[in-house]
Amino acid sequence: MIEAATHHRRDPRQPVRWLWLIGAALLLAFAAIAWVQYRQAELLNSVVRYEGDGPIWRFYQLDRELLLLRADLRDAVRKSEPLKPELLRQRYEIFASRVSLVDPERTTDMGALNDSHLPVVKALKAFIAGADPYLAESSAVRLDATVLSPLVAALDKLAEPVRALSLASNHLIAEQVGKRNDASALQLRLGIGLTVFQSLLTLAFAAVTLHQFRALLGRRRELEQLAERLQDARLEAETASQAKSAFLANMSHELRTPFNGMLGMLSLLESSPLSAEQSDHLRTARESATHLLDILNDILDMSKLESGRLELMPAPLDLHRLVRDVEALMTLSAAPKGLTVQAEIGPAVPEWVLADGTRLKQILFNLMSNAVKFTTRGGVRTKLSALPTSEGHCVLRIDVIDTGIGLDAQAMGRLFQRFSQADASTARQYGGTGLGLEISRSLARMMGGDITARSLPGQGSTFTITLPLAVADAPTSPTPASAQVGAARSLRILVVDDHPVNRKFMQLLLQRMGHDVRLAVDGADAVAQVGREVPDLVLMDIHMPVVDGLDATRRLRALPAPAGAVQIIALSADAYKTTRDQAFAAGMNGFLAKPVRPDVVEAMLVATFGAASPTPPPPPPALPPPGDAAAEKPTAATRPSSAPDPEAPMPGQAPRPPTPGTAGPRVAPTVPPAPGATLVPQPAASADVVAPSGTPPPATVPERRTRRRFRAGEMAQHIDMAIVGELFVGISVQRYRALLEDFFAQGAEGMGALLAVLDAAEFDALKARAHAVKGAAASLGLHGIQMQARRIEEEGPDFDAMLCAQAAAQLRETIDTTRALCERMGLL
Amino acid sequence: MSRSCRQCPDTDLSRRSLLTAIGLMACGAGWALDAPKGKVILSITGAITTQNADGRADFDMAMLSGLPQFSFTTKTPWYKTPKKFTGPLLRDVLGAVGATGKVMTAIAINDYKVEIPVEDTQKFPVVLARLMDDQIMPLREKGPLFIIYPYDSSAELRSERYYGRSAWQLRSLVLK
Repeated sequence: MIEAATHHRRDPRQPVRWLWLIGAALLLAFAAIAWVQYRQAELLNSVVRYEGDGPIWRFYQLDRELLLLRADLRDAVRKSEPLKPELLRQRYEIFASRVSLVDPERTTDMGALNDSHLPVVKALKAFIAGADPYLAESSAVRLDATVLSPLVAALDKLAEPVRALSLASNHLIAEQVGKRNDASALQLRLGIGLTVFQSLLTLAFAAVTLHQFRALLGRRRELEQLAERLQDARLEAETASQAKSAFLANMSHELRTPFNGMLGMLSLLESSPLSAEQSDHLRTARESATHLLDILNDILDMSKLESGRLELMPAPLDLHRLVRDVEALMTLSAAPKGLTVQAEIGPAVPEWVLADGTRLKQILFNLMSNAVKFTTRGGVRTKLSALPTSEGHCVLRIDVIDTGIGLDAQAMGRLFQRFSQADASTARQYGGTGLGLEISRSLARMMGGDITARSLPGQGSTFTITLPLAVADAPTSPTPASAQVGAARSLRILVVDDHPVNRKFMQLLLQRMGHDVRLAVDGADAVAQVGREVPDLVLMDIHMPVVDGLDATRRLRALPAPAGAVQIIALSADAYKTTRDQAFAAGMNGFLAKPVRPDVVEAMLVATFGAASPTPPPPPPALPPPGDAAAEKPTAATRPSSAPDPEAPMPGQAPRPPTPGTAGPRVAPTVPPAPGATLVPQPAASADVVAPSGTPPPATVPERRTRRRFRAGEMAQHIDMAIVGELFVGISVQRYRALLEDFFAQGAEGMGALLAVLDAAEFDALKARAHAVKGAAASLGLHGIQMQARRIEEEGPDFDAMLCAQAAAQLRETIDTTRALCERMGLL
Repeated sequence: MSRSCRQCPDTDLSRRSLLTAIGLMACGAGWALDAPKGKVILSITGAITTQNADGRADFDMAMLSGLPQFSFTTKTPWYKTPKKFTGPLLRDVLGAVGATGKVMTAIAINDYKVEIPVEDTQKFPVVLARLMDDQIMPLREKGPLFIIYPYDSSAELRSERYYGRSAWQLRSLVLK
């Protein structure tokens, strides 16, 4: 390509030089041809001049007249009967008139032919002088032989020299003509040569022109091919880009689905009784997950911005409230660092504007959390001012001013570039994807504004957002956001999701909100269930096998009311606008993006079914704790007070605004998990248990780190999944887990006690201990342990020491296997 | 016409004129041209409508000098110096004889013959020269009549074609 380019750069200039050369040569050739032609014309003129009554003719005429005169004179002498004298004299006069024409002294164009020319003319003149007295017209002398004879003799003498002159003139002229012909031939050859030269030049000219033309054609063809290749490349790139977008969309779905499950489970786990250490671990896990989700969302935002798939949805927005919200949240996250966060709203700033609140909040969060992140002392001030531009429009200016580390000029240059932080050390120190600023600025620019930054190292930074906004009217009705939230009543909700974790999560979430939840595994199931009994609401996953959510919705809408009029809210991890549009087009009433957040669900329910008392409904009844020795006791203490509100922003991190596509209005996080509602069974504090000193540690079964293999059927022998499943449904996995952990950890009071009794061969105590263990195991669906315990309970009294040891060994193995199975299932 | 009137004694002018006209028509154009009184120096024959002799029109010097005269000075191949030529225009001479031909053959006393297109007399003021430098041209000086083209007026005329047509010692013209 470069080679071709240089070739092309050189190519056009060279033929041009050739054209100049050939053009100059052509000009020369033309000049030469003109000269030759001029010479030819000259030559022709000279020929004409020579031909003009030329010497040959004159001498011939003279010769002829001389001979005629001589003949007439001779006749006159011989016949003696003379010719009419006047005729003779006329003949003589004609002859005399011819003499002057060959006399160089009397006529033009007649030089001396040779040496004899002038003497002959002289002799002729002499003859005329001698003859005039007799032959002149004016003479009256009688002409007879005596007069004429001497004249004939004189003429006889002249005849030969005149004849000679005539011939000489002929030779001379012939020679001249020969010379002229030679010159003419030379001229002709010159002319032909020049013409050939000219023709060659013209051919060369044509050749160069042809070459140029070909080069031009070639270049055009190359350009066309290049354009074609570029077109192909563009198509390829577009196809690749589309494939990438499709991949991204899929990935967003694939990533968000398990994320939904994970975050949900983490949320629920937080509301279960945990030790301080566990809470800390859980909090870390949740922070990590939230952070990961932030990064994921950043990348998705970026990809959407890049592919132009991000769309703004301006709506009337309470700007003041939005700023206050952000301020409140940032205050929370800045508090641990001892920073102040302050927002000042100028008097000219309109309260209600038309803007995409989600995105505006995202920008504000990003800038403010950056400010907090990079500030160690002082605080962050956010100043809002507005400048009205025209009727109903203004330019909003938001300055986010911090007293942080500041930036030098070099860092400022890199500021808005992706994945760049001021330097590598700050990146390590402060974390973050580095996408935030770029996304914020892109969003601001999409809104018609921009973000600029001013900073000096060590003196803090000021980030300025400018946005042209339309002023909106305040809505007449109070916004749902300001209403107290909470579902009005217990709703019957059908959750349709092919993913069991999501299904379960939604179920637990909604149950905890006090709703009656039923489940459907796919669209067909959902349609069937709605057909049997119409719920208040259907939460419909969109992507499902067999019959997807869109299809199911269309089928439901085809049904007669009330089934056809049921409220349907879409549930999808794929939050693209097209998906949302499809959902609405299919007849859905709303759209919830995964991962689903409790507050968003709550808000959606409020928006759909109206506000009600915030009192959380009673939790689903927990199963009575296993074992008759168990006691119910609220254990608020099991929830560390330091545990963060799951909806509160993580320290040092901007809380993520709700995922775009949220159907319902956003609400402040409102649904704290009801800690008081968590009932945790406590181990029985039976006094009659004689615990040996040095009570075995709760983990009587040593943890096996190696992955163990299970035999076929081992699972069914040890665990009754039907019961476990029912328990999950009934009390949530978290609670089941808690129960399970307690069961295995019962140590001295529970299973540990039974083992201790067996080990000690205390036959009296065997039955009671075994019974307690049996009951607990049965309740938890631990079929294997239950069976062991029952056998001990029934046969224990008849045991001897050996049997005791055998039973203990068997029980230990069963416990071991069960525990491993539970671990494998993720229950421990 | 005027000449024919002058020829006749006037008794009854209008009647005679009418008769003369009728006579002219009956006898051809013969009467339109005076008969030469002096020596005939030029005879015109062939396609002519006006005659004064048997099938031809004869001219003496007086008749030619009676026609409108024209003169110019020009260089010629035959003399070292420019010469002034004077005489009637050849076209007037042809007009006087009612020439209708396209071509005339000029015949000199020595039987030199050359064909001259009548068109030449229209294109150029071709003079039938009878005086050179205001002198009668004797036979020895190529007289008495010399057809002269205005050679100096055009390069075209300074060529063998026109020099050849310039017949001297002219004796007669035959129109075809």
